Amino acid sequence: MSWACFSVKPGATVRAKICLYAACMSFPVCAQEEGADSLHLNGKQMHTVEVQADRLKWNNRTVASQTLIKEDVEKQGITDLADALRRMSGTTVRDYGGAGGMKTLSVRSMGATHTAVVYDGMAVTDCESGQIDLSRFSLEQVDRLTLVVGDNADIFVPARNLASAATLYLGSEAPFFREKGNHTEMRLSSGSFGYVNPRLKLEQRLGTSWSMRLQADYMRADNRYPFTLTNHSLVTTEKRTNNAVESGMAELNVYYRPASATRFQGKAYFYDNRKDLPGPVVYYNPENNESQHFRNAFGQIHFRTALSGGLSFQAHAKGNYAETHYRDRGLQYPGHVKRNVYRQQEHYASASVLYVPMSILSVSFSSDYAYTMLSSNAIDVRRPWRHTMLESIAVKLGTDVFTTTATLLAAIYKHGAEEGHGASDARRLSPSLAFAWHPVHGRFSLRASYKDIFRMPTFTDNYYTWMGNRNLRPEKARQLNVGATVTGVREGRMRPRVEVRTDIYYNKVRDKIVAMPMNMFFWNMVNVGKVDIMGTDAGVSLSLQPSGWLRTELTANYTYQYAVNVTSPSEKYYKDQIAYTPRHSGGGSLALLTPWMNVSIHGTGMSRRYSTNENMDITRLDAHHELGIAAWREFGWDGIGLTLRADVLNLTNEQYDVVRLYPMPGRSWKMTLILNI
Amino acid sequence: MKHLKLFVMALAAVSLAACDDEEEIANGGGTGNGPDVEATPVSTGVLILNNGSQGAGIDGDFTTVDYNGFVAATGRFAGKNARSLGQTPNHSCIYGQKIYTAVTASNTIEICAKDDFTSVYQIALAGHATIGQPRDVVGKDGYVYVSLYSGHVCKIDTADFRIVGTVAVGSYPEKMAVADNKLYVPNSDYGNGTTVSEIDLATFTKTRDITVPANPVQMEADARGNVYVLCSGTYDAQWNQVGAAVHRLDLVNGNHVKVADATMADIPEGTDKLYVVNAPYGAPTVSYAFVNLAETPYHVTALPLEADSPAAIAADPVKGYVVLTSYNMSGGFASYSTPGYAHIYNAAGDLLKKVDTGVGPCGIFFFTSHVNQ
Repeated sequence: MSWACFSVKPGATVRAKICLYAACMSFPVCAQEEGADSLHLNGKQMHTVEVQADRLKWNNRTVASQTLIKEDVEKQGITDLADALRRMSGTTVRDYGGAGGMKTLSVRSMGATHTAVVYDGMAVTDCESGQIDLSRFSLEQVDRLTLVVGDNADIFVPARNLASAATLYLGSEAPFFREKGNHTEMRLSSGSFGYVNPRLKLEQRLGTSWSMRLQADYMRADNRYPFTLTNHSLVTTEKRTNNAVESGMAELNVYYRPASATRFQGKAYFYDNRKDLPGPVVYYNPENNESQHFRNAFGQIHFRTALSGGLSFQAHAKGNYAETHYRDRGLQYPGHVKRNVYRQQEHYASASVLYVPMSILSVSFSSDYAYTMLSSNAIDVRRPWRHTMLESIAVKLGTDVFTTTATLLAAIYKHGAEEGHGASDARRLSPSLAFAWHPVHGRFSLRASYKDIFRMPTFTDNYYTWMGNRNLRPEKARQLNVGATVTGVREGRMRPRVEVRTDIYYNKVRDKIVAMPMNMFFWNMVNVGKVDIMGTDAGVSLSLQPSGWLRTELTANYTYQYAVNVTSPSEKYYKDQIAYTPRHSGGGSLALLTPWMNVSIHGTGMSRRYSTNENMDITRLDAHHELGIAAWREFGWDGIGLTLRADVLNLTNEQYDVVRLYPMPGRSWKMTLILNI
Repeated sequence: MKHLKLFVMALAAVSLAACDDEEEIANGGGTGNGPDVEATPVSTGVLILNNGSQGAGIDGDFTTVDYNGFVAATGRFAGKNARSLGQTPNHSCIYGQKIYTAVTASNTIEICAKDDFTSVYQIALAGHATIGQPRDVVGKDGYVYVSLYSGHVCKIDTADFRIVGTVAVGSYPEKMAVADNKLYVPNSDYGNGTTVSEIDLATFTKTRDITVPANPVQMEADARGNVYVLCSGTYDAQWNQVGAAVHRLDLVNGNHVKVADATMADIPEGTDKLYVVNAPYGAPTVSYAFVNLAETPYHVTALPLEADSPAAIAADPVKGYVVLTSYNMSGGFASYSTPGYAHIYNAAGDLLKKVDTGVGPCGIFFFTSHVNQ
């Protein structure tokens, strides 16, 4: 993947960060990945084409993808990762309310277990639940986030990055230094409901080829926000209790770039989160005594180099350890407490080779291995493990006008346990094909893609006490996507830049793993669900410069999803919209950027949903929307930058639930101070 | 008056011997009538308690079926009081002129009028230091006894709804029964239990624990004061449910005698009849049966009942109607988040009516009253 990030702050000097990836654009290896855009290397044009150059990049993508960079995050008034994802099309974020509350992402109604999260090139995994809680990542930690449905245009990736229906890429770049060999950023945020979030980032050049970045973050919030409780005609204002959170994160990245074609990155990451769980709102009983303590530590390394004869080689390796302690206090438990402990570890290694015999053709082979093991008191085997072996081959043919990518992934999964039977083994071949036609380079492109992929049952699906089913088959997802992107740039008055993208898709999920009741006390996980999904994503971004001192940027996203349960044709609820999936959803933002103050107004909304796969009045969740406003100003003196920002969220104090019986906060505020030295 | 009393008692004796459902006089325990008047009991309809579904965010409520035309109505509590009955109401009892309901997840005991569901009182246990999560309610002699998942039984005065006593029992106590002024409480211990606690109601203290087969979940008592326990059994290595059955307890020496295989059971109040559903997990078929408890050895007679996925069974102590509630199916499995239904059969097993209920129709009770002649 290569990208360039530019930022222009009105009234301040231009600060351009060029990541080393872009610097190697002239190299055949890198150029191949993107359909080289020589605009980037022409210093003069850098200033005028700035942010937009970034967006032009993904015109050539053969699959539907959406990208947000740091500057977009500011201008669209995006407050956290979940908010960023809600502004994108095709996303459904399940949010349990409050800062640090659990948030998972489902893309195009396929379910959160089909969404992979890739952080700096390697997947973040959770074998127990199969879903990543996005509240642990903060936007400040990443320079860019990209949501891709299907395979990324960059084929030189580990095989595991091709193994999910949708992938959220969180990426950070190596630090860029100008004259000074170090850079410090300190941030302090404070907001409603006891929210405090100090943050530190240190970047240091350590010699001609070495550099490092250290970041640390602490967050706490009470989350005792008021909400309206409606009990038929009894309407009261309550406070959300047992909802406090405290978390800390530290990450060290080391970069080594001895030559432009050779790079090494090492990362050590540590995260700790203590959260009280508020539970669903229960009439007449506000008590909930659940809490959870999650800790994760991992180390990952990435090495890449160019060999002779058009060959490149890269290696990835990662060691991951995560622990979750769940506790519930209740008079009914022996000793008045219930504890569930989950400890998982994963060791992962990948080797990939890229061969570029001529400029239009590139071929990549990748081989991945992972060993995963879970130890828990909530499962009925002792220490189940899984060996994952993934091999992939990808071929890309790219000319100025056409790009075609074909990928084949071969997956083998073997299971066992220290004591007890392991789950069924699995092997699958997953093809995918993507095609793009870009007759007017950088202005118009059409794309079509097909991907046949699956997700393995999680260890909870297989082994959870009473409910687990060892004989589950993988859940399959087949997706077909067709789309187009149009970009327009005009110089002269207003300097308008517009980009419109739209995609139409059809997905089928089969052998969906669901919990089904065998009797009142005994639920079991079974492969029984079938879901058909048809949808449209559309997005617009428009930038105008009406005068020298004012620039306006407008973005809007719309998603239509017809996602229906087609499991049993003879039943009453056949073809009802699946749970928590609105037919219509969307959002937008308008930013007004001036040298004196920047203002952004933004909003998201969704149509009615149902908390069950059966669409009934008693499980209906009404349509809702949320508006917010942000204002910020940057100051710069003598190499020091200071930014002050204020946000008001849920301006109109809408009372709504995303997940049934988990009310979201009403109106709240946040202030942020950022110091750059 | 004296002759009338004699006549009625004679009639009662004759009816008991004849085992004729329609004319049997049932001494419905705890109707609050004074001991000097014997009356003809009348049954006007069925009360079904719908548990709702907490996972789907659906509250519980009552469905009533009036025998007059078999008219059904759901949402009776919320409809009358403009507030929810709460989440996961587990069991009720109709005692005197009121309905007492144990609402487990909401941690309340709701008391409402039996004729129009007007709320009379709500005992809210949230924040209580020692007891919580009411499971079942049983009435006797002006008091109502509630089993609680915190491992207790509490005694509530029906005059002012104060909790006047608490007794510790085993873990996860379930459905109780009264016999001979003693309260029997099955301690399920979340599936691992093997004891039934006996509480003497005169002193309100636990007198002993009786050992029973695995997983006792429900106590029943017949007209002669015999005590029965429904045990859900265990699961074998292939997850088949084994050993679910109704046993009669020998209160003298603590032994038990199996009456019938069953996963659900009901003895209508004041009768010697046992109705069972046998639907153990892993079994290919579900069976419905009847046992005359006055006859030993116990003889199990099959009943021609039908349901997609039975939720509960009960029979009207006066009219002999058998009510079988069921879940509807969704995706080939029982749906715990959509409304269910009830089949009402007469004593011979003919289907009289099918009515829709709310979600999770797991409690069946009867509106019976004594009418003075």
